[in-house]
Amino acid sequence: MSRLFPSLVEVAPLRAVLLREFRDALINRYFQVFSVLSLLGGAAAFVLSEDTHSIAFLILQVSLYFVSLFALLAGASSAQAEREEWQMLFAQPVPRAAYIIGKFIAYLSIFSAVLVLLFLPGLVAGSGAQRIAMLYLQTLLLAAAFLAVGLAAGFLAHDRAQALIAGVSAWLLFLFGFDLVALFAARWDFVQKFPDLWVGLLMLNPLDSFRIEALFALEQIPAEAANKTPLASWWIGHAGLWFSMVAAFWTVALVALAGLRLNRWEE
Amino acid sequence: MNARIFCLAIVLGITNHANSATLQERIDAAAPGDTIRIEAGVHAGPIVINKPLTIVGERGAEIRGAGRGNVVTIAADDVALSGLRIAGSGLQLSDDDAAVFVTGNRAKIDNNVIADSLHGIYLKKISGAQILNNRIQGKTTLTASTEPVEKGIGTSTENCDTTLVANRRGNGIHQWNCEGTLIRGNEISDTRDGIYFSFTNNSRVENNLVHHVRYGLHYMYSDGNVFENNTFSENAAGAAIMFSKELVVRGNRFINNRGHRAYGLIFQSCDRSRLEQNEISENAVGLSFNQCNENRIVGNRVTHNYIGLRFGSNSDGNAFTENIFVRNLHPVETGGSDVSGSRWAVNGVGNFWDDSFELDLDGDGINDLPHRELDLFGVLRRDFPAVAFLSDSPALKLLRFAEERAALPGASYIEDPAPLNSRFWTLRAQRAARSVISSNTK
Repeated sequence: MSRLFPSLVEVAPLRAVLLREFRDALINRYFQVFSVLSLLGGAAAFVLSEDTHSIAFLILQVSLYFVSLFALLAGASSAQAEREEWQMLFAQPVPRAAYIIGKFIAYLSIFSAVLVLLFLPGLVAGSGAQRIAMLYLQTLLLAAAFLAVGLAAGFLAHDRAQALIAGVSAWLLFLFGFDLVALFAARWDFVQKFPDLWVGLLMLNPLDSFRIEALFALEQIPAEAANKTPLASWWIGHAGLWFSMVAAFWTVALVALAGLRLNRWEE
Repeated sequence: MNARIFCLAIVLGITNHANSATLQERIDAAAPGDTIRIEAGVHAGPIVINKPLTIVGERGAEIRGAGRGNVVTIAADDVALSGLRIAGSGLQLSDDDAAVFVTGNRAKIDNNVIADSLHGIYLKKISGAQILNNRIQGKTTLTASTEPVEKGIGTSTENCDTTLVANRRGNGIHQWNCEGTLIRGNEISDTRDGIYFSFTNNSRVENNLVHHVRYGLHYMYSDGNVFENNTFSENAAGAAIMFSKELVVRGNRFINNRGHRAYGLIFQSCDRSRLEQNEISENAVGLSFNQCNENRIVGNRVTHNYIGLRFGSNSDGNAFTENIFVRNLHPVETGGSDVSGSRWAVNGVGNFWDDSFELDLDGDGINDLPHRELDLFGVLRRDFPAVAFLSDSPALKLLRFAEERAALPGASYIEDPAPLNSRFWTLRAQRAARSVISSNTK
């Protein structure tokens, strides 16, 4: 870590990596597919929604499944992209952390631009500028977290196939596994005695946190369970803040993990 | 000339006398069947109408009570009251204070504005009343009821709950022990309950708008009534219909009744009734169905609710057909109840479910495979309410998908043997059109 953080302040190498990553990201096929999907998803939400109120709900579904998956795939793919070139790249006078930070910033910047394609139709349709803007920011945070998952999976794996398998497994775990375990655990008497513990563990999953934030806050779903436990009540009251914190935590932790792994490679 | 002046003086004198008399004096002086026109301005109440009269308010006419008792009491048969603003009743729930208190049969109350009162219109033990096109606004300075919606279901007595403290709101239109009332075209807001029915039979309620109240319609022990084309929106509960039979609830809109425990329509302990063509949308719970038997639920649109249909225990012989369940986060909640006693298709026609697997090889608009609507939370909703945080989870969708293909052991679900797809209505319209053309040709 000591070798990781000092390098963060060196701007010139970071800029060089950023430019390089921007060029690479633009020809990344996951990004290209994602751009098309974003455009189609936004248009579909616009066309298929019965009313403007429904658009945000449909966009939420696209974000939950596709944004998280493609951010992860892009991250994993990017981490493995220059695997054959590491010897040459490490010979350059560029701090190792700059590669990680550069990749992350470049890809997230492009995600932020591509996501506009997803949200613009909703905005044009008059689905509530504030609501759409909020959902856009939350989706960008979700993309950041799963980009970090992808980067970590990519740098921890030995080859591209392993990286993709690890990344997709992590995505499936976050998307389905967490909630399936939570649902079955909820049937145990022991768990039912500690609802705050159950809620607390659920809150750590960025996809659950994102879903609940969007459903309960943006869509104003009646919070039937909100007043049942202190933690549940707090969570509903601060869903946006909590999601931001969870997404930031996962992002920083996983980017740091990827950086550590990269440093170990060098050694 | 002198004779003319004398006559004019007499006429002016009478008119002047009429104008200076109080409203109650004019009513007392009128003969049965007379029409009294009330001029613009504030007229002091309370008044009691004890003979058949027609009272018509001119534009700007108001009867204002002194904040005690009723403002207008209709104690005779065949009284009509229209075009007035009526305000300022007492606020004692235990005394049933109301802006208009009616104990005479066949009263017609139309085109009035009622405000600043406890109950709006109170009908007590009468028949044939007509309440038409009135605007009733509750006293917003009084505390709105904060009782949970389910509290007290089945425990109320025939009158308003007198255990409530005095500074609570009354009902918009309150009926007790009435027969054959027509309630049409009224707008009611900010009252305790919009329209209250108790022991009132064979009435019609149509084209009313009720919003921002506790129950839009609070209804019990009343049989043979028809509710048609009313809108109940933004209330704690759209309508609570309980302990009654042989009702027709048709073409109403129960929309946007939200909040932690809000309902579109609560149907409890009601038998042999028809729920048809209603729109039940954007509620916390769309339709709550509990201990109801032999009802027909046909062609309702249940959409965009947190829970579409809450189907409780001890309900048998109900038939659901041609209903549309779309975009509900939880289409059906059974709470682990036995739902096998009700039918989910009639004559081979089921309901439309937006997540139904569409396989329609013969193209008749009815899917060839049955649809299972799974209630994954079941009794957990009651035992472990935090489970609601899994609403709309992809994992739940995965389980639903699996359930469509093979029934999961131990899971509670309803099974529609003949789910509809979107072609069903198109095909029906085409058949109807062909039938018309064919009959015209003959």
